[in-house]
Formats: sequence, structure tokens, C-alpha cells
Amino acid sequence: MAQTPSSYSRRTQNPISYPVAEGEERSSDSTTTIGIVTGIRQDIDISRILYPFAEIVREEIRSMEERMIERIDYRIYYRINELKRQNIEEEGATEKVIMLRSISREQAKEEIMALLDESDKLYYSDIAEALRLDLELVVEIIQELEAEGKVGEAE
Amino acid sequence: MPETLFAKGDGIKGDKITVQCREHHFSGRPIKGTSRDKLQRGSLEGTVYCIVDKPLKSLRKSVQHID
Repeated sequence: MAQTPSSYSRRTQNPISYPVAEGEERSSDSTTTIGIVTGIRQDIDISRILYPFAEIVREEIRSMEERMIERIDYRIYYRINELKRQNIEEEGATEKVIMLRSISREQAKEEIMALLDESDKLYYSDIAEALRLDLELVVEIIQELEAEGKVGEAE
Repeated sequence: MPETLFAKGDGIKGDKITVQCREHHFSGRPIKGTSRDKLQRGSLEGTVYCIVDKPLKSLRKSVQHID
């Protein structure tokens, strides 16, 4: 427990030693003169009067800081959880599984031709993705269609 | 099955190469020393199938359009 002055003391007397917070300089000019009205000059060390209150204020600030840290901790925890949830949702979206269709070769050929008829320019990858077909099957069918003269390279 | 033209150790070059594989590893870091510093390097693993992609169009539609 910190030592507190029990009473006012004159400047001329030996001052009671009281603790000073770390990093805080003891003021050498913390006295003021009172008693002008009564005609009795009395120098009083203001810092000694305020010292007990300063301790109370320090305690209160410490308590407030702790409460704030608790709140900040909770907010950080909440934000981290929110980001984790978003990340899981986004990863889930990017890892969406494309189910390849199992259709007959003839049907696949017709669908590829119909898709190319509707579009100006398509890549193998576009066709495979649009029709949800295996890339190798698409390449094979396109090669057949090219040989038949139904499909050609776009500019 | 489409004809396989490349064997182990061969290189494939093209503007667009479409691939199908089980795993892909790309650092996503540009490689310095190239003209635009945008070259990236990676690898594909597991039953890799590549095709040098090209834009395709229906010639049937073109013929109909001309008629």
C-alpha cells in the first residue's frame, strides 16, 4: 500500500517521503501559498494533498483499461470468427464441385454443335464448362466435327 | 481417345493451354527477368490432360449465314 501524507506540512519542515509513480518526476515546485485572507502564511505542497486522489484516479483508470481490453478482446474474437466464417463460405464457393454429365456421345455432339451455332467463338474449355462434359470427350468430338467440316478455327 | 502428341520431357507452347488435373501448384509470384515480369511457374499433377486451346466456330452457321 502506498504511503500517504496524513496532514499538511510546512515546506520548511522535512517533507514526508511519499512514493512517486514510475516515470513520474517529483515536482520541486508543487507548493502554493494559502492563508492570505487570514494573514497566516502557509506553504502547502499541493501534490501531497492530491496524492491520495491521484491513487484513486490511477486505480479507476486501470480498471477502465481492463474493461476496455476485455471489450476489445471480445470484438477481436468476434471479428476473427466472422472472417473465419466468410473464408469458409468463400472457399466453399470456389471449391464447388462440377458434376460431369454422363450423356451419350451422339447427344454430346449435338449439344456441342448447338452451342457453337449460338456463339461466335468458343474455346474447348468454354464448351466443357458450359455443357459439363469431360474435356477429353470434348476434344475428341471437336476433332471429329473438324474432320467433317462442321467446325473450324475462329479468328 | 484423342491422340497424345507429347511424351515425357516434351514441352508444350501456346497462348492458351487448357488443362485437367487432380492437383495444381502455382506460387502466384511473378518471375523477374521476363519482358513484363508477369511470368509465373507452377505444376500440374495427377492424370494431367492438356490441350493447346484455340477459338472454335461453327462452319455450319457460317454457311447458313452466307446463304
